Amino acid sequence: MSSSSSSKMIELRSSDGETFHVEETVVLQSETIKQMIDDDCANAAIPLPNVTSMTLAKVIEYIKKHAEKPKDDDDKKVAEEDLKKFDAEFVKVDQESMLFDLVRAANYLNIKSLLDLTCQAVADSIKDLSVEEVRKKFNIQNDFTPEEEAKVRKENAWAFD
Amino acid sequence: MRGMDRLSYLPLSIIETILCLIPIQEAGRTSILSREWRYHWTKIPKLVFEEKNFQVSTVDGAESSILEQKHLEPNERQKMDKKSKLIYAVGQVLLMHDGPIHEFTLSLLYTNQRVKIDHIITHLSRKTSIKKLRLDFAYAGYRLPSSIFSFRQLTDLCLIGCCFDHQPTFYGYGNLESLFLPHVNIPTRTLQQILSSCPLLKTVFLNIPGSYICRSNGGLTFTELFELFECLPVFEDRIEGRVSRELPTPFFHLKYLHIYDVCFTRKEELILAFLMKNSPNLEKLKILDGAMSVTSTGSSSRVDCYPGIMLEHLNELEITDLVNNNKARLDFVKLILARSPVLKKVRIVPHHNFHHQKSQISEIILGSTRASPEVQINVEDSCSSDWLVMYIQLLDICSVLETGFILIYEPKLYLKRAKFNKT
Repeated sequence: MSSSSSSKMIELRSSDGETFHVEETVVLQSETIKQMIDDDCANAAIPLPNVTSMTLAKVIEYIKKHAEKPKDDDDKKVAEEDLKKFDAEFVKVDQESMLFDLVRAANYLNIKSLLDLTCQAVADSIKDLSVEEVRKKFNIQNDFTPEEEAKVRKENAWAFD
Repeated sequence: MRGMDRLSYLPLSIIETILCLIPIQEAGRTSILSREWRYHWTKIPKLVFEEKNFQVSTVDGAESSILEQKHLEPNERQKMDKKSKLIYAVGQVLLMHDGPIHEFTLSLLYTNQRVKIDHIITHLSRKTSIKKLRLDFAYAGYRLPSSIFSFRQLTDLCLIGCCFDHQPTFYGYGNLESLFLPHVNIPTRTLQQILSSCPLLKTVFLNIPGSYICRSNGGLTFTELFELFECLPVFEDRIEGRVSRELPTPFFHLKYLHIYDVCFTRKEELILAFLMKNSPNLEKLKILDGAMSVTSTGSSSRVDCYPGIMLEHLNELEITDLVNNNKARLDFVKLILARSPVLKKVRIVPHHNFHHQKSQISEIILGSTRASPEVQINVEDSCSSDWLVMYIQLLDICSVLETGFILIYEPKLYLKRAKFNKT
């Protein structure tokens, strides 16, 4: 049973009105969409008001790659390696904002593996940075007074050793 | 958009997920990012404290916390060594923590903080949210408090370098799926108690030096290991004929069974039959013959002996180091062939002392009745490096333990024994 011809196509519409056609088998990786299909709400285009076309295109690239099924055990190993490489490349996005958009989209669409992957990428980008560096990198406004900050720092002294 | 604080605006659950993915001290440090961030870290469900990853500055750098300014001698913490600071941090985190803890790890190379760790474990045992618990004291022989038996919701338990005291009123870990007990000193009856009272167990890793289980020499044999199951009520009367009885809860999750040191004595054969009978979903069975190191009496499992055994799902059988000194082994293979309708692969590797019997063995097996029309039978040359291969395979198995129920017993001992055999 070859998939491409026989599988039903699902239409997705991004927040900026662009439509995407994706095979049902591929799109089922999204628990959110799966639920909609199960509830028979997927006859017309599914609107995704929280996901832009740029992000959605990336998400579709990801789920398509992850829907590929290896033929046999030997193929499986190669495919796993290939997928690892793909994932590593996938989160190397030019703009940091894209990574955060992907986190939100993965969360909204409930695609667990993509959420794990993108959260790990965010965590990796924070790891080993000083507090000041994290603030600067993500533009977090420090609204503590110096006294307050010193107090919180002391409260959690175990973390600042 | 560029100026927006994208991190802070993520949903809270995502922020918690991300904080779980960085070292706990770094998560704690996010408390001073901004007012909004002050308590985010206190909600994380996964707490990991590992000595090797724990950062301590040089003594002068650390400031004392508000709590310690009030309750401890000034600078007491600064004088602490790394281990004490780690334990201190655990205490502080647990005081501040707010919300369910699903996963807790504490790893120390050795410890002089036993009483404090007792308190931590007892505190945690009262939290019903904990699903995964990992305590690693390397070879320290930390004596676990009895509260270790109170973690009722555990699905994963990993204890390294610990000692158990027997707890007669233990009712089991009803949800436990994975049990890792390397380098654990545990009374046999306690191990029996644990193994027999965790109906959902899928993975068991035991690597218990024999002396730790109060055996005088050489460790447990296969029979002794399975005597651990003796407390199972049905198993108490292992008299021939009653073996076909079933457990109240069969090992439904048992898919892969690897057994080492099988000598095919009458008793062991009954145990094997018992295991076959009670493992309805078994897919792979691997047996390492251990008879070369033990004087075996042997017996035979005639096909008509065990009417209740039917291995509906078994597709692979492997017996390595087969010692063909009596009928028992080949009768066992015949029994499996006759009762496994979907068997695909059978691999038999005779022990190198029985290499000359290879063709005789394959003749007998190929001539026997098979329930599966598609089965492929290979009787292979004995491989001199088998022990080493086996050991490496064991390490592989350890890395993919998600997949089934594996009983591993003393691989290192075998490695030594193997060397001994060859000289």
